[in-house]
Amino acid sequence: MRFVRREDDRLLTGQGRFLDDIEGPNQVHVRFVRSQVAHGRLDLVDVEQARALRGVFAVWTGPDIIDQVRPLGPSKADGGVFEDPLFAVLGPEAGFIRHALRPILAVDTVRYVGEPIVAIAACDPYVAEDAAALVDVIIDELPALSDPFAALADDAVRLYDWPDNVCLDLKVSTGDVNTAFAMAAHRTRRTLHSARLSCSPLEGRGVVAIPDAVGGGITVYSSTQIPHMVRDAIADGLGWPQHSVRVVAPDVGGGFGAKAIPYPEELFVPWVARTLGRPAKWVEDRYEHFVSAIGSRDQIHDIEIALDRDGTILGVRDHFVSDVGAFSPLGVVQPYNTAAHLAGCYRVPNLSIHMTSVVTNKPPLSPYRGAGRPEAVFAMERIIDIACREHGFDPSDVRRSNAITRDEIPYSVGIPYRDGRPIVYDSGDFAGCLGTALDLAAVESDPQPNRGRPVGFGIACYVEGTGIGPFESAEIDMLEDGTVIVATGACSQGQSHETVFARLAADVLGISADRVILVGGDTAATSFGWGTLASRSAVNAGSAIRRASENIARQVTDELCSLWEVAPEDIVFADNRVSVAGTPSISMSWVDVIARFSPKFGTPDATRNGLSASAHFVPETVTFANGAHVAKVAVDTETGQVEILDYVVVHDCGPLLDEEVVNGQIEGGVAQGLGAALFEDLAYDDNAQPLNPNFIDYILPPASEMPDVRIHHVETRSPLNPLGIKGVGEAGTIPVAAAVLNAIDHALRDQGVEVHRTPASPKMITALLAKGRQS
Amino acid sequence: MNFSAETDMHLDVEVTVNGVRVRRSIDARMLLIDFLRVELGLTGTHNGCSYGVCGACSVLVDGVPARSCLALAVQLDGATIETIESVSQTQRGSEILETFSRCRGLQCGFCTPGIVMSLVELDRRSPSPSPDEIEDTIDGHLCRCTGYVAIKRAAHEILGDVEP
Repeated sequence: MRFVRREDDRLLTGQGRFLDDIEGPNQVHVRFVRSQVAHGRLDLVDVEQARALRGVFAVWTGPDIIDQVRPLGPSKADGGVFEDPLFAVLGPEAGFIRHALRPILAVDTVRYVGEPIVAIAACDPYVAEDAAALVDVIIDELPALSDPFAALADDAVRLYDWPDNVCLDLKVSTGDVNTAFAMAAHRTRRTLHSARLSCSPLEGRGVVAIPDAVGGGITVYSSTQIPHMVRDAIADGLGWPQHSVRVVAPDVGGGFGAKAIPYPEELFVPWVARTLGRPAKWVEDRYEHFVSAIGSRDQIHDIEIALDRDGTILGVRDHFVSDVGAFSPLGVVQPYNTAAHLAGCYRVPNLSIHMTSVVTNKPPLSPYRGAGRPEAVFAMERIIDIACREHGFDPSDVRRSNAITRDEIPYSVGIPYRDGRPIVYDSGDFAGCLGTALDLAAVESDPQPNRGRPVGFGIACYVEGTGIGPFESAEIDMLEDGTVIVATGACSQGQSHETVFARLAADVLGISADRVILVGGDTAATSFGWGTLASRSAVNAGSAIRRASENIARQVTDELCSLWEVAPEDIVFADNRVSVAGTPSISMSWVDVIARFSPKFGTPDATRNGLSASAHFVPETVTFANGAHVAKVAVDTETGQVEILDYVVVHDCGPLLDEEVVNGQIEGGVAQGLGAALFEDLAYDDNAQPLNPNFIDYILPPASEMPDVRIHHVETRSPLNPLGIKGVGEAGTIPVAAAVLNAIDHALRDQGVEVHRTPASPKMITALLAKGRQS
Repeated sequence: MNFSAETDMHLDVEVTVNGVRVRRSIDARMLLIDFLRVELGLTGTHNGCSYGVCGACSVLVDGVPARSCLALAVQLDGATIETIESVSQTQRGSEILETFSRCRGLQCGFCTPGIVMSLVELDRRSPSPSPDEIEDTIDGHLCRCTGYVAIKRAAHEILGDVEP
């Protein structure tokens, strides 16, 4: 069999190694008893019956472990790395951030349904679940918060020992917004709400910790996007030296942000293995994913736009509130990403943004694919459409005339990015992408109905800062048999790294890609690593691999130039050999090349250290991808059902490393955006009880709802990395909810309907239509 | 893993899995998916939700797609079971897998085994399925990576209503 991707050999034949496929000898199975109450004080936790059950090795409560497993602080990806440079640039008067410590098992208070209270280690998962049912927990309920505005009330119950429930309050601005609004011919203001979502990778989280057979260390397999950060969190939280903890991300069945922070379970399971002296395993079930993995979005904007008489955007002001649940492990990321991307691909000379993140009794919030950008685009692109309709402008015309053109690049937005650097759009042709999308989609202002259903077009443009630092690593080691080992800190959750990254090294070295083995996500393979999130791996890991490969090529060139007495430019890497240009008789196989670098008798030369190289790519700042989506929809006004008739994506991520992989990222992203637009709403009642934490009531988009996606690539090079590329992992998702809801609004243009919230479910649309008929 | 040590309800079960007859004495409550994955080491079948919605755990039982997370292994005494591990053993199965790969019908690969098993069954049952039949089949599965576009493309190529 011949498969196109390297990964497919095992993934298509049932030989993949996902987390639950890994077994340690005599492993125990960990099960958590989780709070069924959103907010309360632990009154009684009785584990005696569970402890007595046959097959149960141990049962722990919060007080049992608090001295040994430290609560989790903010994630490394936030605490300090981004917060410090950002706050340094914005200044102390811009606002504040507060961090809550997250206990591994609740000690005296529970703050969301799903918070772990008790942990059980048993001989198999069935017995562990039996034992969990025997645990008796009595909780004195406190008032629970499920609405961020209720949480902001003066008399609201406090989640922490803070003066209020605000964990982040931050302002950023450029220009003079008040003057711009005072002078504006037109102003439009609305409240726009992106619903809470679940990332729902099809494989949930999970951890297997196996004490090493020799040496006293431990190997921790985790279904994670960030193995190095997990290693550091384990070492910090358990007080173990870093060298004693090896974290490996095996085959990972999707992440989308849900696996991009260290979790309590990732610290606890290694501690169990060490404490019991045998392997320990925990595999999240689907209910646990809904109630204990991070949720996302849940952002409500009060946004106002000011337009000149001709539709020129004069300014935007926005105060948005993020409901971050009980903990906000990447506190600054989602809100500040929203702020940094709000202006998007338009000239907005006067911009004022106020971010408020509020703690409530929902599970923790952290970025999901798009990470604050879908929220920004939803607010901005909806307010543009609403303003256009209110003041009689054509949305296509207004977008065309305000979009930044190729000639204006590099374009400074006037506020800093999350890394503290000024936002400068480094490449692209935003107006060009928009124009192409409008043409491809054949946008009309008054389209004909489709089988009796009103039809509308919706447009949404976006920029995306991709490839954020601080760095990514690459280590290349050439084995004596000619195998090239390329290791990087960026691991794959389906992004085809083994295929694409191997090719990057192979191309530099003139070696066929099947001789290159890619190792991603093993802390034993690279000392440093950051991980795969934030549309960053191709840019950072790809660039690091390119540089390390070039380093290898340079070493070989130096060696062979002196041997062959030729100039460096005469050395050619091709066809699995190193040769002299124009003189094919002077040539060497890679096995012979590598042998020249190997330590051996008779060459007491300190430079004979083997042939290897390492490189860390540290980007100056993010590089901006951009694009435009156009949705064409038909709305059934009886049932409220929306059909996507056509979907056009124009996207610029620079030169395509692999067009099929890029298309796959975009198509998958569009599907997730469509889920947010039409179906997904992780709902809580007034007591912060989850209403739909399962695949039956929380509706993920199925195949039959997914349209064909027409993709057009624009390739403008980034000046910020050696590959000239920009990230693409999240782009597909970012503008979808905005485009689809704009299209629904357009379709219902004669019905008095204006959509302010995702998802545009049939229930919501029929309710809006009924309201429209009344008014 | 030892499912049977702590309860006393052992039952014998004999099934043919991927052409091999196996007999085990197992805990009565063991699910088929755990029987395949843990007892037999066939870990290609994946558990995505454990209540029959996502389809990742789909296998063929006597030639018919079944959610292995919803069946007790002891219910299947005498049955013939096929899992993803068997697909590459036949010429047609290999073609299906190659087409799936060529069309980029998978990214992370977690949902893939279930989808492949459903397509294997549709391919046997229906010589020229309609687009609706194909879509209905894929609709029995959740995929979070591909947006289904490439899966549909692969399915249409496999099932012969478009030229490769």
